[in-house]
This record gives sequence, C-alpha cells and structure tokens, in this order.
Amino acid sequence: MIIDSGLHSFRILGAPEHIKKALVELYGRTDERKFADFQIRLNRNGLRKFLKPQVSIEIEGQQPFNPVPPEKLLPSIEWAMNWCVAAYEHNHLLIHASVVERNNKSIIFPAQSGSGKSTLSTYLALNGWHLFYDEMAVIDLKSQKTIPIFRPSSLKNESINIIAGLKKPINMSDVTVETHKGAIAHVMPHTRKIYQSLSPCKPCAVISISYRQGCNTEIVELDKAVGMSSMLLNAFNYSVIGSSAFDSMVELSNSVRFFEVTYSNMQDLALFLAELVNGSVDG
Amino acid sequence: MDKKLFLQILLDSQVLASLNEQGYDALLRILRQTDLVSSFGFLTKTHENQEVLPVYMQTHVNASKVFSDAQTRQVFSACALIKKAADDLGIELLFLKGAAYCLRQTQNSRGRLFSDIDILVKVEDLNTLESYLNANGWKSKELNDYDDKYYREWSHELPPFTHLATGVSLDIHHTLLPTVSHYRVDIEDLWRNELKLNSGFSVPNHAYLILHSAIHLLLNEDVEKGFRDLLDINLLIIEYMEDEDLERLKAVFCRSGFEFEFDLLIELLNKCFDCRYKLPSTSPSYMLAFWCNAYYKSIFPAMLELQTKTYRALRLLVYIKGHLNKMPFRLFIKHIIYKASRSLTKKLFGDFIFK
Repeated sequence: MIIDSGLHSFRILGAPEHIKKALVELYGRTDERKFADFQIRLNRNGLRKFLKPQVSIEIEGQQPFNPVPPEKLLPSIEWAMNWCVAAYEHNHLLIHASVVERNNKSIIFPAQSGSGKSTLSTYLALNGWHLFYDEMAVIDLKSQKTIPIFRPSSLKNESINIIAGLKKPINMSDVTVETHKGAIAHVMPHTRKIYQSLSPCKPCAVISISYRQGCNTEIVELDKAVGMSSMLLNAFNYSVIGSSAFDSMVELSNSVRFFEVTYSNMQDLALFLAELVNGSVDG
Repeated sequence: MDKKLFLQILLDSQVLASLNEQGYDALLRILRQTDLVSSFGFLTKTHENQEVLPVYMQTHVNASKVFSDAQTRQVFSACALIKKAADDLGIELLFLKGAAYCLRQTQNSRGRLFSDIDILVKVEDLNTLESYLNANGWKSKELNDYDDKYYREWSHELPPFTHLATGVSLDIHHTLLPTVSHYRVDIEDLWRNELKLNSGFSVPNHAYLILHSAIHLLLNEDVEKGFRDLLDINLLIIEYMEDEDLERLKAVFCRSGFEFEFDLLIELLNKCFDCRYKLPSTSPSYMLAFWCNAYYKSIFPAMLELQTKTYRALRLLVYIKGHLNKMPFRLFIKHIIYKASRSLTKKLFGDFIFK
C-alpha cells in the first residue's frame, strides 16, 4: 500500500490487516502507484513468531528502530515515515516543529518532544486553523514558504484526553498503549479534500511555546538574531544544506516575528495567534 | 530489476530512457541500499543534466548530492583534526579508503558516502596515539571483552574511536589485515610509496588504494557493501591506469601474496563492467570461475529483485571464506560458536537484547 502525504509517498510492505485498516481510516485512501519516494518493509521475526511476536521495521534496507509487537505498529510506522523525511529530504530545510496556517499565513512552533506543540496545533486545527505538519516545518529554500503535508498529529498521554474532551468530530486512531513515549493516538484534523485546497505560504511568526499548568499567558517578543538561532537549534538538516540554508533563514527571519510564549490556556493563546495572522499585534 | 540492467544503467546512462515508473522505483531502492544515489548522479551525469531523469527521480538524486557534499566537507574537517593530532605527536599517518579518495578527489569519491575515517599509523605509534585521543575529546567504542580481545589480541589494533563533539568515527590500522591472518601485507612497501598531496595530507598511491579496496571486497566476511568496493576499484583503475599499468598493479598484489585475489578481481571486473582486461592468470580456472560466480551473486544488496535461489548459500560461503582469510581455523571455530550463540539469543529474545 502507498500512503500519499502530498510532498512524499511511502510504500508500506508487510503490514498486518489491522494496520492497513488503521492507515486507511487515517489517510482516507491508499493506492498502489508504481513509484514510491520511500519504502518501509515490516518483517515478522522468525523464531519469535510463536513467542511474544515482534515486527522489525526496515526502512530502505536499514533498521533504525527497535522491533515492536504487532499491536504497537501504528506509531512506529508514523515514526518511520518521519525518519524517512528527516534522513533523505534535503531539498527543503526541516525544522523539528509544528506548523499551522490561517489566512494564508503560517506559524511555526519549533520545539522538542513533550513541549505541548502537538496538543496546541491539533487544538488549533480543530478550531479554524489548518495543520500543515505536526512533526516538522518543511521550508522551501528559495521562497521560505512552509509546505503543507498530509500527515496526522501525534498525541501523547494526557493530551489524548484533552483533545477528545473538546467533543468535536475528529478522525482519531485507536490509542496505542505502553510505547516508549507512553500512550499514543493519531489525529487527522482535516480531510484530503481540504488538504488539497491548501497552498505553501510564508510564515508570519515563529513561536517557542512552553506549557505550564495554571499560568497566565506570557508573551515575549525576541530579537531576530536570538529568534533565528533558537529556531535553528531545532533544525534537522541545517548543516547538511549549508550556506544556502543560512541565506534562506536570514531572509525568513527578516520577514517574521519571533516570540517565546508560556501558556496554560489554549483558547487564550489562540486569540493572540489569530491577531498575529491578522496583522493586528503591535511590535 | 535484475543485476544486468542495473549494471547497464551505470555503464550507459542512455539505458535510463527505457525505464518506467516501476523501473525507477526499483532503481531508487537499490541505490539507497548500496549508498549510491549521489554517486549515480555523477556516473550518469544527471547531477549536471537535470532533464534526463523524470522529476520524481531527479528530486531524490538532487537531495542525495546535498547530503554527499555535506559529508565531503565533514571528511575534510575531520581529517584536518586527525592530522593535527599526528603532527602534535610527530607520528606518520596515512588516510585510507574513503577518506583517501575524498582527499585525493578521485572520480569515485564524487557522491560517495562515508561511515568513518580510516587511518594507517606505524605499529609502534599505536599506544601514543591512543593516549592522545583519549585525552583530546575522543572516546573509544565500548566493547565487550570478546570484541576488545578481537581488536587488541588478534588484530593488534585499537577499537574504533568517536569524536565526542562531532560524532566522527575513526578506525586506526597499522596494517591492512589482522595479524592473526596467514596473509602478510608488505606494509613497508606501502609506506615507501605513500603519496603526499598538495593539501598536506598523505595517502597510499593508487596501486595500494586498489589493493586495500580489493582486500576489503575479497577477504572480508561482510560483503554488504561489496558492490561499492568493486565500483571504487573499477573507477580507480579507469582513472589512474593504462593497460600496461595493470602488470605493475599485479606485482603490488603479488608482493603481499594476493595472486589469486588479483586474478579474481580481474574476472569480477570483466564480468560486472565488461572491462575486457586480458592478463595471464596463474590461478586454477575452476577456482576463479567458482569464486567469481560466488562474489557476483553475493555482492549486490539482499533485495528480492536481485536475489537468486543460491544467494543465501553463497553469502554464507563468502562469510566463511572471509573469516578464514582473517584468522586461523581453530580461532575461526571459536569465533563462529560465539557469533552463532549471540545470533540465536537475538532471534529468541529480540535483536536489541545486547544494546
């Protein structure tokens, strides 16, 4: 089966039936095209078929991940797809971040895992925004535009309950428990038809977010040099691309605003973000 | 895609015109598994001429060049760091294999990917170098007692080192094969024929570069990257040798007792790349035919499309031969029992039980 994420296609071989079903439910459809940008092969380990079976994940001949039991495969396949992009996609700058869009302007949330970016970006995507990608900002080097990617967001542990508690109709996968990151569920916040209506667009802001329970929303605007340096700490392939990445990011930094935000109330933060894309936040 | 078509594509880029989507898909899988995507771009000149390949394939060739260019920069930077160490210590040092190709800017270095830096030092300088590296930001790979013994006692070599800041991996050699092996490389002759580059780095001359790559291909148990080694050798010969030079290359091989390996290499080059080298062979023709066939069927990646029914058996044979080349039979038995027990443990309890 082939998963089409827009910019890339992934061939998944050897997927058990329950995984195929879960992937079709998330992605709407799969196809059997002849050329795939990346190939992921799932292999059942020989002797372990009968004793605590495990599945190894082979990506283009490599095995960068530990084998997992079949019931934990869905998050592993999603991570494998992220790995393919991070390992091979060097025509674009990749920053570990979530990206959302509204009014043809995007906002980049660069952050490490556990910062709350997935919860926030999924919340926004269910409240008038579009999710471009939950794992990376994929940036065109010539135009500095962020590229929309058709992939679900990945929610962990308590954030699953937070999003489910919004009581909105959502396309959420079953929860996979006891992964090395805890409980994981995937949410596809829009249909493929809506995705196809999205276009690459320039970011208007880069925001480092930090969730702190019970705090007021605190917003600090950063100097451009500080903001750019901080953003690039989260870049996957900045040193691989080299000087053209630097030049492109200087252009981007000159046209965006950088912020650090600490928050506990997503609704409150969403108001600020909406003002940003409307251009109504003073400097 | 079968081996013949894959080889034809590398030799004649016009064959690309016959590929459809399915063909390009198979090609990309093979190139990724052999780490040859960017090399392919240089061999077929599709890095320069972006209209030959369909867009969906060209985009990956372009991305691979970005990566290989970055690795080349990193190799130069890492070699400068290592050379500084040697200069500080006043010891002689040669860069080998991939690093040597890169520093010498050989044709086969274009688009090549590097997993580590290999260097050659004099055996009497090993301890000095090890102490310096441990005190200057390098850390030797953590090995279990068995693997440590493999390196120090059987190979009389140091375990691999990693630079803590950059992640560069360094393999330190004092000869080209483990000392427990029955082969004796004429390492003094290699040192006598070192090449000092204008950049200040030193590498073996082209004959010893080819010899080392041939040793890696034909006397190693793991031929996972065997095709890349053969491609390296083919390109080095094309770049640096006229036909008459092959006799001198043979002499270098024979100096160290690799007469059979030279004859086998010529057979393989003729079979894979249609080279038509004609040199008198002193090796039994049935042995050459057998091992040429064995390597021809073993050195391509373990992809279903390229596997034959005898693939696994021949890979095992090459695996055994590779070990026997590097160690006496008695030691080989102990080593195989150890490896087999680890392999069985992994199969029962999972691949990563020892990590």
